[in-house]
Amino acid sequence: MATITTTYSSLPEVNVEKGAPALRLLDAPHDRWHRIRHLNGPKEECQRLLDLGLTPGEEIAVVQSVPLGDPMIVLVRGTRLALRRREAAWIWVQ
Amino acid sequence: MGTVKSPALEPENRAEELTVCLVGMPNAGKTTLMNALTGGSFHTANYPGATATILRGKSKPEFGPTITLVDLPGVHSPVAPSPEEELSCRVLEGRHPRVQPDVLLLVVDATQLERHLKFAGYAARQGKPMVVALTMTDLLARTHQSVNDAKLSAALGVPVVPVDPRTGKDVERLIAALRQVASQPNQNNALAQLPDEPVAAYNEVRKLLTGSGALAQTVKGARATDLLTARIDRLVLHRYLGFPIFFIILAGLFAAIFWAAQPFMDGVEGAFAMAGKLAMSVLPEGVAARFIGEGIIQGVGAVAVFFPQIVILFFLMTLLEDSGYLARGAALVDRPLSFLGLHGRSFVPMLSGFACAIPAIFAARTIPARRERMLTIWILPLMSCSARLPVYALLLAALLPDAPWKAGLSLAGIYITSLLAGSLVAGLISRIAFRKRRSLSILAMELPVYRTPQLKPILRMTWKRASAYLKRAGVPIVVISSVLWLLSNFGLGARQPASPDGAARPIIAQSDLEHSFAAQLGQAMEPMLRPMGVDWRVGVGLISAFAAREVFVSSMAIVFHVADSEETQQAGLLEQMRAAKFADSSQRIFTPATILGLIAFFFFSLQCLSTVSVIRSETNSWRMAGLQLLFYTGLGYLVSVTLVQGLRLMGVE
Repeated sequence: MATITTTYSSLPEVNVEKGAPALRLLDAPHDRWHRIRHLNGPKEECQRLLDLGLTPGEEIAVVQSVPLGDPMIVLVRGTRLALRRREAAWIWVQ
Repeated sequence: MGTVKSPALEPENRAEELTVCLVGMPNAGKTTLMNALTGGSFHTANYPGATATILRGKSKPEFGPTITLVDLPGVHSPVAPSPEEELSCRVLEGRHPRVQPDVLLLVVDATQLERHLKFAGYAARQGKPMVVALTMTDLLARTHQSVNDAKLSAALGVPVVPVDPRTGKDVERLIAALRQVASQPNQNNALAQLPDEPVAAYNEVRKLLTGSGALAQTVKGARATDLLTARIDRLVLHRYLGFPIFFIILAGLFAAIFWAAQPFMDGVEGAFAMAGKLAMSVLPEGVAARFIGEGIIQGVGAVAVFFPQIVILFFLMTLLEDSGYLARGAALVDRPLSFLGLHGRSFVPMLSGFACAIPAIFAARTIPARRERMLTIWILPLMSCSARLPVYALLLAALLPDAPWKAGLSLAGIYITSLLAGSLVAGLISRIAFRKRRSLSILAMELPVYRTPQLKPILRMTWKRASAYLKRAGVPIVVISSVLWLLSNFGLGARQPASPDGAARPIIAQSDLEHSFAAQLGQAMEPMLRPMGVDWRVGVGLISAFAAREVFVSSMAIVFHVADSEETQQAGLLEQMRAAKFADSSQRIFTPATILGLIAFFFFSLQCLSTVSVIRSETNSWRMAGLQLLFYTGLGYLVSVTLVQGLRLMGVE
């Protein structure tokens, strides 16, 4: 095992440039913080995600994928969540 | 458990006694706190019709007047709830007929204040007095945070008591706070003012936390995350190492279930055999004594043999759950399982299904979406449960008499095939039957922080789960084995051999197995059994196997007249089976083709009425249970007949 050099509390900060293009969390680069812009997906599922704390304006980072690539592990509001790629595709970030 | 008066049926509201419900998100430490408050003397209360487990108990005597404590299942979100979550929501919203709390005890993880307080808002809106218990405060250092409980309490308008449920520290303060709010409800509960809409609610929570100075970061710019957990996840969810680790853990689990349980199973078997004989020698000789000794005691014993395996399974599952690994396992296999229309969390029930389908069906309660839960329950009977093991052992020994290693290998093959068959059935059903309707399916699963599991609470929880299993499955097992005993020990009087003194024969009389109702059923079924290549005697074995599959072995010994001596029984049975011929021809019954046919039958058919009864009560649907019984037993029959006839066509007898 290679030693772990990055710690999540020192992930690169959110890019706050105005007018930065939105992209899906699914396609967003790993190991950096992104800001959630909006959710766009099936209503009930998105409501549950919102309720779990994935709200617009909140910071989120993808820190790991599991061996099969799905789900991915995200960090949001101090919690590690396993999100399916399908769910990550509903989350638009900057 | 003997001292507890039927908890499920007692009315909740006894005037003086305070009832407190523990509520919170999963992994907040509710059950550990429950342990600390009650001193471990709580029990699972399965309310009729409820598909979730509620824990009930009384506060420890040293805490003063008794408080009734009810631990509700953890809720991630009241949006699109699982059955467990739905139950807690019903209690919180005052819609539960039996559980009506006077005070809510909100268990809040100090390292995840925002999410937990957002949930607390939902609970507070229901208008009950409440107290917040702050847990996991020892982890705050790991996440570079500090929480000031006095400021938090002032900001929320609700008493906040930091507790360490693992050591029981400050639990008395918590009790005092509970009594106080019971007499003087919270004046300005800020949590109750939180909006329902999540974005606004989260903003409000953050304002409350930072505005009051209740939450501070000890390292500037740091974000709350636990590095230890991150490191362990890097390893156990590693691209190449993740699955090997997963399989090693599973292999350990199986080894424990099958090897470590063996001596205990032998003990249970011996104890029931002895108890049965004892009962028969003590009671006055006669049908009643045999009914109690053979029918009830040994009948229950046939199922109770698996209890040690179930206890070990519960213990290891609780251990994995407590350490935090179980959620990782579910994340690892979510992709293949969701492809089949199942859910990552389906893996726990599927795994349990290899020990016994009944605890597996209970374990399906944590799957949020109804369709995925039903589909999981649907395929559980296919998992090769350990009641099939003695049957396969007998049949494989008959099929491959000279090569035990081939039999062992075939057994491993059967286990893997059962997993594949379950996957195939799930995949086909989700593709065909559920093709049109879109349904909710969401993972978004919290991966809890890793913590060192603590033995005592785990042992306690194991015992609670095991005794809940006994309570739930015990009654159907007693009833079914009694009925089957009666069927195989009584028959129509007219079919019995005439008594020497020529007395008139009663309509229904005691009978040996060959002239019993069971034999009559077997003979009536003979036209259906012939395509499987077997005669009515095997049919009797198949019917008796509905009590529990492994009863097949002992009924075969009875119908093929094997002398009852413990050591030689299997060898004697094998010899008898090899020699057995059809009554009307010299054709042998047990040929390779028919043995394979029987294995196929046991592989598919749902020959366990206890499972059927538990499916009924868990899904609240006779239709589901009946459909499953017909589907799998029909499938087993069809596959068996096709296999036997196909092999015969190919010249294999």
